[in-house]
Amino acid sequence: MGIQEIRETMKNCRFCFMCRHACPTFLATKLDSHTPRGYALLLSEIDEGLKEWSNECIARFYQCSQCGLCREDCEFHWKEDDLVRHAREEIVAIGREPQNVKGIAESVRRTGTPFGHRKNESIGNVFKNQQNPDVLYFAGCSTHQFHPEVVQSLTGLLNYSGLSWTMLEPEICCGMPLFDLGYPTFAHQQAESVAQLLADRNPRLLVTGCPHCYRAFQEKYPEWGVSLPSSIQVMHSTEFIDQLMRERKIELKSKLALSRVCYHDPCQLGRKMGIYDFPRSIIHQVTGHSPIEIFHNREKAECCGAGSALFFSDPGISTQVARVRWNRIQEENPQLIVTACQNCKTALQGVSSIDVLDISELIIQVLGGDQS
Amino acid sequence: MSQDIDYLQEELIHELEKIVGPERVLTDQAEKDVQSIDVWWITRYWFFNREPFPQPFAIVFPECTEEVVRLVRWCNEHQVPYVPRGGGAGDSGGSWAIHGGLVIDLKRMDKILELNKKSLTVRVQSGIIQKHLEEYLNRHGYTMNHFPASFNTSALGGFISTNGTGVLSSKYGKVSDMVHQLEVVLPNGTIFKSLPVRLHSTGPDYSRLFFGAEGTLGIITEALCKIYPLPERRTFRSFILPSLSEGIEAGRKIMVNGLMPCLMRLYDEFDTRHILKNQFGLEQDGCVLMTGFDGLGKIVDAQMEVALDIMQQSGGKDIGEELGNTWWTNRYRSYYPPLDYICEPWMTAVTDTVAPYENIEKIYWEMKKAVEEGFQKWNAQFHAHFSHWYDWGTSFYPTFLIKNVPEDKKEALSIYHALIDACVMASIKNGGVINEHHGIGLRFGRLMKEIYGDNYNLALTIKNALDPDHLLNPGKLGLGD
Ligand SMILES: Cc1cc2nc3c(=O)[nH]c(=O)nc-3n(C[C@H](O)[C@H](O)[C@H](O)COP(=O)(O)OP(=O)(O)OC[C@H]3O[C@@H](n4cnc5c(N)ncnc54)[C@H](O)[C@@H]3O)c2cc1C
Repeated sequence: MGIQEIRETMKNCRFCFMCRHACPTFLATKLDSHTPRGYALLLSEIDEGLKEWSNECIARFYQCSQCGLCREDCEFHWKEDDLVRHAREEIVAIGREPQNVKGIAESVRRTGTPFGHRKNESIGNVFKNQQNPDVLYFAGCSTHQFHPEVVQSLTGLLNYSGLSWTMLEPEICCGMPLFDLGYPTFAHQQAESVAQLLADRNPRLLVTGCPHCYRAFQEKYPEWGVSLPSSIQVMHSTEFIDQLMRERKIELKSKLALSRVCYHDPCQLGRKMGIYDFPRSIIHQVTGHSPIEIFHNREKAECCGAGSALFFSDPGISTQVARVRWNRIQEENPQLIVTACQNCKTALQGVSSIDVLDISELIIQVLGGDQS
Repeated sequence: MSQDIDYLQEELIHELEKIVGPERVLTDQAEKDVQSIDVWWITRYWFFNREPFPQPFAIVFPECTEEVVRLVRWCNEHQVPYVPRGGGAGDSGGSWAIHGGLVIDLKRMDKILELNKKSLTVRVQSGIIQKHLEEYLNRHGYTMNHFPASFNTSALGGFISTNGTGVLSSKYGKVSDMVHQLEVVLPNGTIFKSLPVRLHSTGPDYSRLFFGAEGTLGIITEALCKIYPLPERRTFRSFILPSLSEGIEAGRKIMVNGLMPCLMRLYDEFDTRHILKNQFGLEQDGCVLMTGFDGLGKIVDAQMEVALDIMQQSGGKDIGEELGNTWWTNRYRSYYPPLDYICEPWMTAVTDTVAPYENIEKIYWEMKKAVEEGFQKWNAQFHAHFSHWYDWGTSFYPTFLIKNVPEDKKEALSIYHALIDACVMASIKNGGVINEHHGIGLRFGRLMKEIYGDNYNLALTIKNALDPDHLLNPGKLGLGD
């Protein structure tokens, strides 16, 4: 942990300008201190004792959305997103993280979720905390908090599918935002708790629509040495829906009359976890048309500004970044934006003049409203 | 800093905020620090040696020409030095605020204003990153054909200001060949717009003053650039010539026989060994020459046929298309660390030189000798490629490198300056011009009088007339302190 792990990245990135054209935060602000070179240089000043952490410098490190586009764009794939995360660990270690970030960690400590006590959403006929179900649906904290309609849609699909399913009550944070924000130990502890809750329910399939939770379960838990029972298969909702369609557990009787749907690739789902085709295939099946590709798409898709809890910790910057992405989307003149991450939905909804739907909501529209 | 000065600065900042809005005036140390280092070795050396950087008191981000006008007038009124900045990725410290003052960062001036599909032009604000402009053009079926290695990161205004060159320059020229019209905010705060076409005889084309002026004569705010339809075909072919002399002669024949290769790249023996080994696992002497043609398929084929004849007559061994194709696809790769030296504390610089054919090879050997023999004690390395060709001459792009930089700062700097002097002298004494495209800035500024002789008085006269108080990018291009 800490700076020593990313010294090589720091050394290679601090004078290199080559990826700045791609960085979504830079595109929004045009500040050099918002570029991967900027982060590496600032951190190396601190590492070499030339500077101390200033408030502005700390703010910059928390204005990166950890989207990983710089790493993707780089010929040598230097892990700049990791560098930023390690810098945050240093900042947390000296207790200087911004108030909003502190608030997130404190909220998880107090309530189990970054956003405090959840709103009372009505999910309908939900069998919470069932043992040995086919599916355990893990909605994710920000979905519960800001997008109950997405929870409704996914649970509607589960009802429609005829599978037995359950949700955790209470559902607590998977640990991923804590990790991203510089609290690795706390993230590991949180992961242990979640893994225990999941093991107790022992589902065959763990489905989440949140790409951050998905990445935590698939990639980070094994890295952190937190094990889920090997009998539990983890799926993102896009893969799950695609599978339900292939197995004819969901049958579409009609198509939505939409010919210009843009699909925005969430960074965590696409670039970080390599899921690009399931959502595209679902859109094709639902509308009869392939989605219109936004100019930078798939692994080169720009972040919407929500990543790394930015939509919550620094809404001002997040909105600026979202505007850049919305301008790109607008160029395609779409009728609808579809995405597969609730935080992308939040960010894009805040700036777009057309509807933004999660992929589960798209399906539910053809299946016909409430499936509870 | 005393309370009074703090208070004064607050007032100044407040006034700047009235011009561009509070969110576009930055005074924070983080941004100043990151902007302090460009690609000039000295700026990195300053960092390694913990030297304090010259820094502005504020950085402003205008979004339109009108705001630039108001900023320039404000600087005049308060006698504040100001420095225009594009990508900040120049090689010569050109955007270093050596006298403090204000940095006018143009990267928010990135709008594409008009695409003219009839006369094939695009009108654009000067702060746009070249790659963003090219992406826009490509999506509409066009290209600017300007592909410098800093394409990802430098701005159009920066390229105009250093009169940059891209890898397809042998056909498409330097930036000065790519721009029809410029809009510039002059140091007196008025707007100058050159005539809508540049090939006229209605007086001199005054826009030429600003190509290569490195922000010392005005701030470029808008340009009308030439564009081309995306080529139907682009084909590369590579050859191994027995020696550098034969390579240069073969290249010359291609250029003087009316062919228009988009790509001409001749590598010296050092670079050739490296390339052949990396690419083909070959240990072979000689010099690789890559050439390429683009445009309509029939024209490409016809030109390639003639080029093949010339190469055969010149003793060139045809090694096919693969090397060129791979190079084109990966043309920026070597600029990423760890391949780029930039990540190392090594002393390095490029001293690109252009000269007529009769002089170019001699300059190459003289410069190589001056570096390798003159600085043998420090194990100085020198290698080069010849990458911008014309029908009257060509240019080479040499890199010198010293890995064991002396610990003593005075000694290190004196070696660096002596190396620069040696390269410049090797060039000018043998009829060449040093700096083909990497900017003069502070790196070569002190040598401008040497390079031009008394002729440089004209430059000083123009500077004094346009910017009598020397507030605009002072100290650069050898135009005063
Ligand atoms: C990896 C790498 C590879 C490179 N390869 C090439 C190459 O192949 N070809 C090439 O030509 N160059 C190359 N360069 C050099 C560099 O990109 C050029 O010098 C470029 O022109 C600098 O542009 P910039 O926008 O970064 O300018 P800056 O560094 O911001 O400025 C350069 C100078 O221009 C002035 N200036 C900037 N914008 C304006 C404006 N709008 N109006 C007036 N003055 C202005 C500044 O004051 C300064 O003096 C390379 C640099 C790097 C980092």
